[in-house]
Amino acid sequence: MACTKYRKLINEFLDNEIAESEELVLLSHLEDCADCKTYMNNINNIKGSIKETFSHSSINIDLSYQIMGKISNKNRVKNHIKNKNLLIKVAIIAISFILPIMFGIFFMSEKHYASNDDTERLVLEHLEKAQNTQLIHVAYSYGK
Amino acid sequence: MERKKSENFIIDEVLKGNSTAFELLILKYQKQLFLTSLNIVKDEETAKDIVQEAFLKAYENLGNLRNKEQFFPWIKRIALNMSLMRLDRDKRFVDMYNNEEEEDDYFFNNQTDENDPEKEILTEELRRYVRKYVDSLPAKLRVVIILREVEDLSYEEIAAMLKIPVGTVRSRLFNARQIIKERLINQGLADGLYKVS
Repeated sequence: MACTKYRKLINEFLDNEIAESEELVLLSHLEDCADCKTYMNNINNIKGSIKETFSHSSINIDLSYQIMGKISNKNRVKNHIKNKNLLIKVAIIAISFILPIMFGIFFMSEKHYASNDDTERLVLEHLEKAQNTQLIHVAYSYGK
Repeated sequence: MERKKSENFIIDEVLKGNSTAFELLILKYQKQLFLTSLNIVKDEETAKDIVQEAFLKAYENLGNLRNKEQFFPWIKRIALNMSLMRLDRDKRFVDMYNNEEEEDDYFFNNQTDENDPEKEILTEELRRYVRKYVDSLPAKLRVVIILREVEDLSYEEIAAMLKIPVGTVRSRLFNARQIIKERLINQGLADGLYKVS
């Protein structure tokens, strides 16, 4: 069909999607082609009818109650998670304070034991130097 | 402009934590979104589900909406995408307008224009057939024509939404209109309204 090309352009023209250069070609064709003019009128009517038919509905709906219910449920879950996270954060902060303190106490007591060991070693060395085996024996048994 | 400002105010309220303000947006737009969705999925219950999901998604992502005046186009896009996804996932939709019973008592349910009852009947009949023919199109053609004629989307927007080339949008629209035109002419609705061409 000779007009097929123009029929496609008519659709684009009615949709405001036609290129400017093609618009001029189409307009000059429409001046001479009565069939294409009728076709354009038909497509325009169809477009209008579709818009009119599908843009209105007699169906009345109200989904606000359901949607708001779901939103409040989601908010409740979100708050619960938020509270849980807050609790976890508090616990982490508490642990981060308690752990160093406990570690410090442990470390200090270790140091205390170590210093006792050092004193004992010094006494033994001194006694060995003095070559007093009897005293060494006594010191050993005392130490144990 | 005033209307948009009040909508900005509502959105601000929701973002501040006043979730009940969101109900105003639901009451305002639910029917339009329902219609948008129904035109795509052709099933009332599915369309209702989609409207609910769209509002929930919008509520959760309201903070991401840069231009608050664009709330409706934004949520409409959400509903359209959801409808297309649902249509793609489940093709088992019942054609609610191809109901024989509805056709039988059609003329008794319609009031006519007292000034020109004949014209009114003809227009109503035309609408009924247009709906029937659009609904009976293959899904690929139907969706494109709804997005173009009812939702006023551009070829490019339709192409992006359906992930198809613009040329395909163009040819689907052309084919869909061709089919509808032929059927209307065959139905005899060409007389007086449509000259054959």
